[in-house]
Amino acid sequence: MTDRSDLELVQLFQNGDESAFNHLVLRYQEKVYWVARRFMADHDNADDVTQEVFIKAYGSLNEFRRESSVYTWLYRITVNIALNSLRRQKIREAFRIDELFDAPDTESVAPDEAAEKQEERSLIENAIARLPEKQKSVFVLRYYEELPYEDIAKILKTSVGGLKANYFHAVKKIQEYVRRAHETY
Amino acid sequence: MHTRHIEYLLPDYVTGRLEEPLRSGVASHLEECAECKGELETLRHAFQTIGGSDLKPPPGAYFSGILPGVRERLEQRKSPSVLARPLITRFALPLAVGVLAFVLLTHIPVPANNGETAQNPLRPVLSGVGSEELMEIALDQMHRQAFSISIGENESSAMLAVPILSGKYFLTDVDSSVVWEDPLLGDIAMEDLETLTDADLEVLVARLSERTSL
Ligand SMILES: [Zn+2]
Repeated sequence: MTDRSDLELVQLFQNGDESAFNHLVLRYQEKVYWVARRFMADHDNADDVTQEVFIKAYGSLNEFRRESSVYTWLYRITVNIALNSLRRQKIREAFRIDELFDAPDTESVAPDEAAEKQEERSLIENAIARLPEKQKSVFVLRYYEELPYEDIAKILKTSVGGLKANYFHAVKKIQEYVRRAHETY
Repeated sequence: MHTRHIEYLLPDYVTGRLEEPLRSGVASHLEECAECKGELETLRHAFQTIGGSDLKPPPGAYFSGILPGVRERLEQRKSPSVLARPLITRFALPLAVGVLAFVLLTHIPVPANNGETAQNPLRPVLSGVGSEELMEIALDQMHRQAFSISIGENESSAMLAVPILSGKYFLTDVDSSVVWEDPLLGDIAMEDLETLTDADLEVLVARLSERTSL
């Protein structure tokens, strides 16, 4: 069944062949995971999102219409679930109000190179995390996933022109954040 | 002539992802536009900083465990053994709002009263449901020992929340399947939750207040 196209697999599933779903999972699990990982920054949260994406996909696969491709459809679910999960995290942080006020952004640096590299990376992760949702989504899908704007537009249900502006501003904001962080040390 | 439109092509130009004829168009524009040249340098520097996409890979056998994990969870959902579930589902949203209201009312410092009205951050959204009433609901639900379930990590409920810091409406779900099953939300689809207008929200709050007069 591995040589079937996505749409054929969907068709099979809709006709009652449960195992077609398994093939879709196997085909897309890595893509979904890595997108989730970009949003969530750590493995455990990315894992939660990945599982949730396929559970949601399973539940909605019967309503899948051929207007979009399976891959843009799955990416859309992934982005939505990841963003929701991030909002949930924010709410949890809000519940922990005392921690909210004195949470340090970055930890103290160990002076070896590996730690410095780690530091730089978490700085960028922080910068990405602070982007508005739209910019964050565009940045992940364009920079890391290298998707064409046409596909991103379908995933995020928006226009190509706006996406380019979003991408531009996202890059500038990340740069600005990193620059300021360096200035304060 | 310099335009925003050209500027927005620069990130793709820098990373070598701009195709012809746009690429040469931008290249020749760069020769005569100081503004874009400056921008190009900034972006080049930015991408250098951002660097590659080196993330630590997941644990060794991780990917082979996804499908079994998903299947297992799907099976769990099919089995009707979780007796408490319909109840939790039914109360999910009011419960969450109640709890949230409770937390907001008790933990968020209300801004000092400078002669003007000091507003609780929840009030604009939940104007249809008095805060005393919400407090009652929260306490009531806590008596039902549902509190921990409602803000628990996994199985929880829908959450309707006001972001405390931005002051904008903020809606989130905790367990999407529960949200979808919730008759309160009815025709409001999960995807729409992120783009609710004020009018939608009023409808939601109206339904909510009907339901919460327990
Ligand atoms: Zn220019």
